[in-house]
Amino acid sequence: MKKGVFALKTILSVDNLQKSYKDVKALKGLSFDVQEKEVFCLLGPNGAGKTTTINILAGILGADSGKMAYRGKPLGKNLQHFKRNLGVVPQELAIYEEITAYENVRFFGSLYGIKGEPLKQRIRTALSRVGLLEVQHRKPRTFSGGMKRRLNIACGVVHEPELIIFDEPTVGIDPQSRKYILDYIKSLKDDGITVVYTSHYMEEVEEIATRIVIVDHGRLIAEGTKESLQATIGDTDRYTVETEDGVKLNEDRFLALDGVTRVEEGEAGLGFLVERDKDVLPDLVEELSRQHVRIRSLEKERANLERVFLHLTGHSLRG
Amino acid sequence: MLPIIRRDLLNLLINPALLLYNTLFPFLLIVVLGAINRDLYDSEVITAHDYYTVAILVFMALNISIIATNSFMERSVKRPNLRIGYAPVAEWKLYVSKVLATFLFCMGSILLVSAVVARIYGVGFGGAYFAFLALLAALAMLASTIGVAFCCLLRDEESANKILALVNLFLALLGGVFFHPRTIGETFAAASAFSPVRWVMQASMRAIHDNDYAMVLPAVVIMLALGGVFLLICRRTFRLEDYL
Repeated sequence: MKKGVFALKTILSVDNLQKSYKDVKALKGLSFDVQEKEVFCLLGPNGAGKTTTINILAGILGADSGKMAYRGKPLGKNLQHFKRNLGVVPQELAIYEEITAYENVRFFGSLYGIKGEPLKQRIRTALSRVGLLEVQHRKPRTFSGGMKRRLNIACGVVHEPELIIFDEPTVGIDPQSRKYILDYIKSLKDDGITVVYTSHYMEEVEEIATRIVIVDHGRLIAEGTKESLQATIGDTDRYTVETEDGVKLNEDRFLALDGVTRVEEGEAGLGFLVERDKDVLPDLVEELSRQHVRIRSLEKERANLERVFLHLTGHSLRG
Repeated sequence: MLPIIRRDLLNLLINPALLLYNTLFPFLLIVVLGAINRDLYDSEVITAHDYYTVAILVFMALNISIIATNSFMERSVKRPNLRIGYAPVAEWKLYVSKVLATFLFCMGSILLVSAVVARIYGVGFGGAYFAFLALLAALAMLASTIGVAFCCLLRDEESANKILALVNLFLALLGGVFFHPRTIGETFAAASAFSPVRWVMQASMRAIHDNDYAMVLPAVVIMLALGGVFLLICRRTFRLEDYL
């Protein structure tokens, strides 16, 4: 297994994980290492195999083959020890709607053998960190979607694990709650907690990740820091031009423009990769006009993970 | 496992529909069936309310299988149950806790209903109340394991409930809960020998009215053994991923 990018200890290793659902191969030999104290993000579109991976790691789902190790020890025999040190925040709400937020957190905390005053203290900490301490005696059925999500987090972290898995915790919630959750994850990083975070929102991943693994169709596509991944598409900006159908271009004339490095033609329109911060717009528009291309819209994008994903897979993250 | 049993039991107790289904519904059945069939029973030996209290409490213990499926895999508890699976808790505790919580819920309901009926109609169970309770407890335990095992096999609470509702009704008819099986035919009456409901009904009636306890222990032992078989089925078929 590969050494991590950082000189930290590997807390979790996944090697050649495979899983099929009937005829559909959800994971096709996925391998990665998670280092201590990092925010490790699994980025990929829906159906990429992220949740399957998480469910296998959490001991809910069995893998067809592959190895997993926690602190160098195989997970099989050490599963209960691993679970004791693992917090899971699933994508779907896993809380009781008919008992109070406090009772929810207390119950799930008690499953880890924590009792009495230490449990009370941890419940207060967990609820306070997700901003629900003041509504701790209210039932979740009276909460907004975002508050329920935050309670879902408190229930998963009350036992103060050293590794926490978040499976798309911000899907379908309001921007305020999303910010709360992302800030919370950043604070975990500051506290030295290891986080495994799955998402198909590249903006979130860019914001919080220490290291990123891009997955698609159950395979690892790329791995690295945000910067190293962005470097794979070069230090470029991209102009996306939406045009009428059936445009025929003379690509060479665009490539002859100072700063234009690549021309892409796709269903979404035309793409022009240009050297970063090079002001090519006037020349580009003039050349488009010269080639009788009618511009419907024009957009400039910086190098980001969405573009990395597009570059590596040929399709969009949200596709 | 105690915190899980306590949580499961509380979940059942705070569900008004289940609570009414296990207390008010059987009580009303006893009241109505007892009133309708009042003339069919000799009030000197056995009243209609005596008979239907026993019969409906047996039916109640049998029907607890449907509550067990609820406790185990109903939509609102499915995800929290999955979260229990994230904790360092042995998998068997997940289904055994549901069996035990449902069993306790059922026995509490039975005690309540029988106390109310005894108070209102003077049903005394012929001094064999504890033998009767033992039979009901064994049946409730069996029914709870059946409910959970059906969920494990079918991997779905709704399908399990639909099938169990029919199975329970069939067993109740076979067991002579509402009327004697011979009313339907001799073949049906002969088949009733295989219904645990029939065993409980016969053992209860003999204990209560004839002071004959010979059938009580065998019936209890057989039902508990069958319960053990269904627990083994749970062990073989339960998969945490069914909560996904």
